Amino acid sequence: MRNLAVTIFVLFLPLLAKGAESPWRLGMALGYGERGNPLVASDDIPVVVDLDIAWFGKRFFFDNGDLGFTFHDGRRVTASLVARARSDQVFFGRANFEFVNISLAGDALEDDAPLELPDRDFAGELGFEVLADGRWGFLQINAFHDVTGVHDGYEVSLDYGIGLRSGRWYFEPGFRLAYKSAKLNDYYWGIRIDESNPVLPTYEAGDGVNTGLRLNASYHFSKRWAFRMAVDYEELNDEIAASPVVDRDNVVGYFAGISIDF
Amino acid sequence: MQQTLFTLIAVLAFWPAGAAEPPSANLTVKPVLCIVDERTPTCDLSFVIAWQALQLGYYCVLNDHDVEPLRCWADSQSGRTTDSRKLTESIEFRLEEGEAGMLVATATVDVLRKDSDDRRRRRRTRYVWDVL
Repeated sequence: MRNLAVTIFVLFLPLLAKGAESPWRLGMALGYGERGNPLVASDDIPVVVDLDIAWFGKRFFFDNGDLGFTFHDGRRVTASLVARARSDQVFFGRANFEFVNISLAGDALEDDAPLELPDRDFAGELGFEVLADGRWGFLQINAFHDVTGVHDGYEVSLDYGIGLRSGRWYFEPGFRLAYKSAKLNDYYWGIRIDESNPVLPTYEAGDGVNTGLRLNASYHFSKRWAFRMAVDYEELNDEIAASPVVDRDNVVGYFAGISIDF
Repeated sequence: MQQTLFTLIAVLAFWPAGAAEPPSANLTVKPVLCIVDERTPTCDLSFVIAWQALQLGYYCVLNDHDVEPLRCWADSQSGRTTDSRKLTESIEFRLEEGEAGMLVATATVDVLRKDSDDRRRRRRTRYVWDVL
């Protein structure tokens, strides 16, 4: 118990050091927001609390669930090996159980039948990340592959953003491109033969590119307290949008609230 | 023992703030916050500094960056002045009373650094619940 207390004290000691940048980044935002759920008969995902828990060492880092090892940190580029979880499973956990009289392929059914969406799992992914920044903004390029045998697919993405400050206001517009392999798309959005039924026809998804736009804004009341808002629009690729379990071709996320940095 | 400790903490936490002696003077500085980053590494600020005391006296406004007072007032109960400077770190203004320089009020202008040498702090995670 005493060792635990000493460990915690040593870990948090940098927070007490004035001047030097702490390896910790701890924050919390309270407010309201939602992440749209593209699945049929499913609820959007409410976001009331957004926690920010990150630690950045010289080589290793933890950033809100991502674990990384930085093997190059140069003047122009930082490159890391990163392990993360794929959280698309969360969409599938919010399905409402409904009876329908028309199949998801659009065919009329003789009798009402239950609509049951298939189960999907979290996947553990490993990949490379390259970060670059300058007066032109900042760029993040990721390539991740499943290492848990859940979907056996991969994703390559590019994220660009630029920070614009005006007094206490800060705006950060950005865009994102994400190529998703056929195996990745098909695991989450395809329907296997053993999952199909009169309501749910089989579907095989191919690869595709999602595109996205976002805008983050914040206004600092003081050193620690700020108002934050974010809007995120992601256009789903055609292979996902055509899935019988998907009823829209985009995912919109938004949040507005008050944040504190510890 | 534990219950007594909790009671003591509760009493201290809710002890009326009015029970303390009122401050003999009040010092306000505007603006109180400036944010610096890679694009704007220094704050170029014009401050408005105002003070008010309970009694007439000799008062000076100083800051922790300069040795000399910014301005002094004789036989005054209130005052107002301005100051312009470039800041890269926080600055504290002090109101002192009398020739001996007794500290009667302080006000801090915070400089919040949003730049970092570690570009990983700007990386984006992609979890469904990450909206910010």
